[in-house]
Amino acid sequence: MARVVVLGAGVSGHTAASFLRRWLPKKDEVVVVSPLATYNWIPSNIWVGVGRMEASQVVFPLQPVYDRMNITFHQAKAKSIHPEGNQESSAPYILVERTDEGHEGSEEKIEYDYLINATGPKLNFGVTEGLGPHGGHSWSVCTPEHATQAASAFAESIERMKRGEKQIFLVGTGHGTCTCQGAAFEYIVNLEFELRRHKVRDKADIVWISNEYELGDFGMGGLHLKQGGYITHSKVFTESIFAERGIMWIKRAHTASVAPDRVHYERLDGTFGEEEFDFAMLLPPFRGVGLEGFDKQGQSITDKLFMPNGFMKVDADYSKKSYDDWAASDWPQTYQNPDYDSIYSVGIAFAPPHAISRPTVSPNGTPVSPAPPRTGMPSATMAKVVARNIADRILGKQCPPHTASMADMGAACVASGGAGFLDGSAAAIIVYPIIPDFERFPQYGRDLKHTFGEIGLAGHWIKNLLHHVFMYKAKMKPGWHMLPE
Amino acid sequence: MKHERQKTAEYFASQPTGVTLFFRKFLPWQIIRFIFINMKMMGLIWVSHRECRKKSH
Repeated sequence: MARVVVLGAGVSGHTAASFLRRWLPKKDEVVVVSPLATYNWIPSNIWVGVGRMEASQVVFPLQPVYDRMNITFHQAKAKSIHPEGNQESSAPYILVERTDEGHEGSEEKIEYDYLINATGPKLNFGVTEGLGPHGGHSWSVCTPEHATQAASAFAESIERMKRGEKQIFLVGTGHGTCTCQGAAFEYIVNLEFELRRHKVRDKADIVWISNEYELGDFGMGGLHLKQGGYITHSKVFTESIFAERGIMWIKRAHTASVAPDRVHYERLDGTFGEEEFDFAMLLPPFRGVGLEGFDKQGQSITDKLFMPNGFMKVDADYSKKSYDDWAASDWPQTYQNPDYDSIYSVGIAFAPPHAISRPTVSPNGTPVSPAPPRTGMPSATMAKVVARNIADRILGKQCPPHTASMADMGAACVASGGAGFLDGSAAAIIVYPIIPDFERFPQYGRDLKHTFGEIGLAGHWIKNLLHHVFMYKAKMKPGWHMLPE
Repeated sequence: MKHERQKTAEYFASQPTGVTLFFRKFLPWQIIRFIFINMKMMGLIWVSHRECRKKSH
């Protein structure tokens, strides 16, 4: 009998656990450890944040699903990994701290044969003074609770505008190294759509602030699309959407601090600025969740397992090289830790070997460039491949490992531009490969046959369809495994 | 005063024409695009799987 422990029950952790359960015989145990009792379909949080959905529509309790599927669930936060066991036993284990009601803070040891680290990120609000809803002055849509708070504040602003007051809305990134610009982009266009729906658009100034060098970068250097007889960068489309909707923008900006009514920011050219707001939704930068590692003697091996940013080392090329020297082949293929081959890491939890967007630093030494995204479709795909490889190892199959490099896979992203069955819209974007490969595609790094983008009502239908399909799939209802990642 | 707008970034951005905006909401066209985009997405999944399979074997 083998036991596979999965840390995290987000898109990647839940996908890995689901497929492991499907592929492994009953005698093998699949264990999920997550500090939260619920699953959250994060892409729909933006609709919660503008009041178009309730938080209950984007979450469901994990325990009943795991009970039905014979998956063991521990509501707990992982604290440390002990891949060599301890002095009493060489069985590898993790130490967790329970978070379920009535047992908060109590520690437990869980032994494993295989471990998948899919914890996702720590939302690092603390790195920018005044950032975030926990004692700060800005809102977030990173969790259903944050999105619900943002929706209440947004509704209050709408009420003020209905009484004739002007409001300034500021949306974007809360630090110079943020990723997930796509989520902030979706939020700002949905916010604008809702203001029009409430007939108060004329009372609002809407401003985008971002660490991107150009709009439409999204942490992956943007993308090129064939459109109207031209090959055009995503900057053109993003600027067009903002201009069409009267959204002003500040780019190449590091948000340095957030005061109750304004943000202070540093531009890439080293100058400083400030922008007033009545309502701000600014995403935080990410870092690893702070897991530690210990060897048999109890000595720290955290630096062996994790990069300094807290993300886990996997089979990527982490050697120091300049941005111009990196290759698509530097990106991991199997997501296996190089020192402990029973440990894998997927989703945001794995350490990317380098940035995708060109790193830039202001004359004051402040980094102002996006970190690489690794959420959504790619995180589910890599989780499925890791589950396959672990299942093959447990079942004793003699075959080469399956791979899922982000340089070989594409991603489909549907960025909502407003929720409405007949008047909504979304940008449907398909990019292949995610990591530009300038050896295979010398001009743009991507295959323009498969890279595609289009704005329209059909995109909204697809975004809506994806919400229902992926909630169905995550609930592991009949036929769930046939739905693609 | 009318030249003020030329100082803004929005002035330099591409903007959709009325025809483009019409087709973004025109139901028969959007039904066709819905099918087309879904097919593109399925194609992407197929290409991704093919490339990953090549590396595995």
